[in-house]
Amino acid sequence: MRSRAAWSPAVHFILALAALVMIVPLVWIILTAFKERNEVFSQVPQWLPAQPTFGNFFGVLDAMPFWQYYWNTIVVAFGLLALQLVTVTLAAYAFARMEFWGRDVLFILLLVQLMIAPQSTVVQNYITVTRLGLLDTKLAIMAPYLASAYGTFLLRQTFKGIPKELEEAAALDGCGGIRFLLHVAIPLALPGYLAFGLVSITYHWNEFFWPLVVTETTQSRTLTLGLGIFAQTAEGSADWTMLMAMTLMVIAVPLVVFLIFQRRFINSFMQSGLGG
Amino acid sequence: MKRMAWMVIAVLLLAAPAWAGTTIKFYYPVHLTGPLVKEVEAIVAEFHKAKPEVKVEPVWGGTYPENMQKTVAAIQAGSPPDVAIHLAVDLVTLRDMDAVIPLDDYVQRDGGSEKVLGDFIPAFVSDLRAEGKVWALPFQRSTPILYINKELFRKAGLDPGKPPTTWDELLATAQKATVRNPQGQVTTWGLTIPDDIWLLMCFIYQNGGRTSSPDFKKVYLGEPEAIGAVQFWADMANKHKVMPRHRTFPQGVQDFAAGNTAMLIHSTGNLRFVNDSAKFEWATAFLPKNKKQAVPIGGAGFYIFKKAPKEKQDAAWEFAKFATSPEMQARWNIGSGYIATRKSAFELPVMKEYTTKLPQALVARDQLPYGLPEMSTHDNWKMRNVFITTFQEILDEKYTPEAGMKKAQAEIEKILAPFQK
Repeated sequence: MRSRAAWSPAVHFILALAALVMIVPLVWIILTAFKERNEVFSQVPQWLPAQPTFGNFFGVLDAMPFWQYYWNTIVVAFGLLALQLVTVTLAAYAFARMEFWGRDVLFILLLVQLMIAPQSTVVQNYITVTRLGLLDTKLAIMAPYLASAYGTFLLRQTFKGIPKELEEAAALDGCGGIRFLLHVAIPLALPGYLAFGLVSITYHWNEFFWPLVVTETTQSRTLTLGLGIFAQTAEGSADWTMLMAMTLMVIAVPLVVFLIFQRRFINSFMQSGLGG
Repeated sequence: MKRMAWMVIAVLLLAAPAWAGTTIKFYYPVHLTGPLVKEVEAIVAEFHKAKPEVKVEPVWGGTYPENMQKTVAAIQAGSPPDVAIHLAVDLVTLRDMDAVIPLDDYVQRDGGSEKVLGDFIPAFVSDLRAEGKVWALPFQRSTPILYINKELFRKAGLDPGKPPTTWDELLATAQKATVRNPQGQVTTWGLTIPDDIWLLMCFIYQNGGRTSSPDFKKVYLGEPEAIGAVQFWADMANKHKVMPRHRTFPQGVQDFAAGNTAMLIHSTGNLRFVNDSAKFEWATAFLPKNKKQAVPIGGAGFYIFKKAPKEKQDAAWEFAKFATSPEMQARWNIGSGYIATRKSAFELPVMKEYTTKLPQALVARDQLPYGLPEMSTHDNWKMRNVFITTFQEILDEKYTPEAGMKKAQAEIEKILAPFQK
């Protein structure tokens, strides 16, 4: 206890420094979002906007069907998570608890999927989605991710951690099979689900290239594509003030969700043994 | 009354086909930010007013390479767009995939080459030709130009009215304009050039060199002129230290807007951005020459796809013609900074007003007679990748210019081997 108290100010200092490193970009985003366009470039960086303006926010709303994109993104990210939870739970449970022929080979095949860069399968996936008649739909954005190898792997490990005796005891009480899964296994695996949910939501909230390729109209396009209008510039400069205003609006939902569930998220990551 | 109703229905039914019209799908990239998506959509809206029987569905496809990947995926899935904007240098790839049609039949139908294509600035059509046919209508075109920060020129005791016109003057000016602090670190660069091969092509051409063959099968990077151009560039960065080794396109133009560099060689497509962002007096000038005056042209054109049914191709042609009309080109130039692709666009009142206010824009056009097609080969993106990686390694002094360029030449020859017949 004593030694801990002794180095605690130093630890606090380091943590505060780390927090500062994390917070500065966010503050910079917020301040830039309220600046005039030609305030961004100056030899001496200006922290505070000279004349704070909401113009950038209105500019964003004017440049694209923003709310439609927001709705699409919510449907894609959360809808996909809902579907993933079903496939991932059943697959993970089968791999963790059931004995069947070829199980380990199948599991390794599934893990191989983790090693393949999604970019390399774009054309094949595009062809599949087109043949299914899903081109330019929200479902097309979700389709390649419906079965998540990462989620299956994560939950299999969590399910494996549930003692065998518990399952036997539950079975004795008439709570076997799918009922055990629903009433015992899933509640016990909650930290794993939270971890997976967080990763899945952030990944699909931020995904750019696949939605760009597979969607064409306002009905199915997502926020990142809207952001891209301001940021994707190979030849010129990004439109920083608009970009920052929109970034602020785009990260609002994940940020609020995170703040609400903050403690749970952190606990879940510690329990599932996965950082970052 | 009943008869009346039937007649009305009959008339409506007869009229229906004329109103139904054609819908075409149009993929376009935007290489610069924000407002340009609106500008493209505005052109589409104008077209709908002029030709209500055709409906264009514009689809933003990201940057040039992203838009190209989108089109390639769509071609492979058998559902390409009807019309799309792609780079002039993508022509080879699109033809290798047999995905686009030559436009000569349409040109003939509408009155011949002189009438349809004569008003376009010749350099912009030259790189859309292959095997004696024309494959696209030029759009979103640019060339590199020299941007000058007049205030930094004055501070360095240079005459902002006299931009450098030769390589020697470019180096001398950059040396004078580079400001170092007492520790010897550079605080203001004399010159900034993004380390991209499009801009390197300027120097190769100016040095009397060549890049690729007209049949897209050969490159000439190991030749002394090309090596000399790289040597000059590398010396400015490493020996004289008057320009940074590496800058991306966005970093380059942002540095200029922030007043961190006295000169910048960059795309004309940034005129609007610089005009909106710079808080100092600035000017543009021709690129300096060495053995000759030269500049590579860049940018894109409207391609029409082979798989589209005839009536969609017809509609796509009408749309491409409309978007490249003088009025639309003037509008596009003013909105974006990209050079209008038609001579007569510059005679329109709106354009006269714009160029009076922003005479820097005329420099870009006036430099075009010295325009040469951008380097382009089969398997173009792979070739570019090898070239740019090697070029950056040369700047990092991993290779000498000679060794590096010969290595790039050898690697690209391997990429092009399957296309030699």
